[in-house]
Amino acid sequence: MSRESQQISSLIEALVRNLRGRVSGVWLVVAVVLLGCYLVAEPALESRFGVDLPGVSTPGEVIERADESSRDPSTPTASTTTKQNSEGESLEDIKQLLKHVGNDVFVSPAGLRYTKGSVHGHRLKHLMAHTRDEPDRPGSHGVFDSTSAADVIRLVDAAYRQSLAGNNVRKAVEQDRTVYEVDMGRQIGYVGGESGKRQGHPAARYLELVIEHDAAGPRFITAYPIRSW
Amino acid sequence: MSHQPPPLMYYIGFCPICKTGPLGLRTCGNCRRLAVLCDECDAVWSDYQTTRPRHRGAESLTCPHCEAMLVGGASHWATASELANCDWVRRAVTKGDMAVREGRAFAPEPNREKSVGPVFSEQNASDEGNSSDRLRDGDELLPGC
Repeated sequence: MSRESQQISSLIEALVRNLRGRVSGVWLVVAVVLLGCYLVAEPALESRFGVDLPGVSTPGEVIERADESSRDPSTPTASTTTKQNSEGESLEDIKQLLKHVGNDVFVSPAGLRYTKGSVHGHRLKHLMAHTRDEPDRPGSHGVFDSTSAADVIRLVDAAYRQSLAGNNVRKAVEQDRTVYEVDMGRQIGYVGGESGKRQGHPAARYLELVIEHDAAGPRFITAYPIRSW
Repeated sequence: MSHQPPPLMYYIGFCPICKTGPLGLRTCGNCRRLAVLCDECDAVWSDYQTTRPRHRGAESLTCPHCEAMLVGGASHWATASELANCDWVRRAVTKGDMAVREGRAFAPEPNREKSVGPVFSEQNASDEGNSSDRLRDGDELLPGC
């Protein structure tokens, strides 16, 4: 049984446990069928209508899907191999690092919220897309040295904390957005993309971090290494 | 690790907010009008005048014309024919206010056309760009695009 099927099954079991004795058997069956249909159809509905519906994803799955979307079809998938990334990192580490607060929203230890969004579908996927070069992308494309999702998330948290403390940071505010350029004091990645390729992939020790502020707090938009400010 | 090539995208420069993301021309899957979308930080504008404040919808990544989502569904990076049929794109390019270049988008998303080149003459792929890119004459315009 796939992980998604297991989660759907768990949710249905929880629903049955909570409703047993409170409603009649017929209504219980109706509720279970409706919930099952919704959970099965949710990904297709989101894809078809471009809407954001509550789901049952975990951060590991979000990143796993990002890995799969970029994987050569001829290579084994994460579901057929041990669920570890290229540095042997367990996806359980990522789950423990981020707190799931519902509707595919995950909160980092520093308080940054990773939500659905971006053309990648989720901000975690977008962030992890900066762990590899895109040599044909116009302009520059910052690439993290580490390919570990947990390491990159911790690095972004460190930059965010440093930004709040005002240490070696430049800050620009645009409406509800804040763009931080943080000197991390060491190499954290390199410059890729078309520009980076032309320049021989120069090292990057600054991290650019874009945050959007709303009623729920700081929301992560993007982060990537840059060469200088 | 190899992966699928990213889709082709028309872009008009780089984002004034994050300074990095190419500003791609995006077709709304609902109203079919074109918007400008930063391929890095998802900032959205209704047209090429990106010195104006960006569009802020009830949710991020919404169309500045109709508030539908610019991701998922039928939304996609604009094709050559959609650019040619867009009034504001055509006027801005013709006046030299905006140069349109072709590049690879960031995210893996299928586009509708394999080549977007024929609509333009003298494609300029340099980062600096200039206003020499021109749409061809004779294409029907979609009012209000």
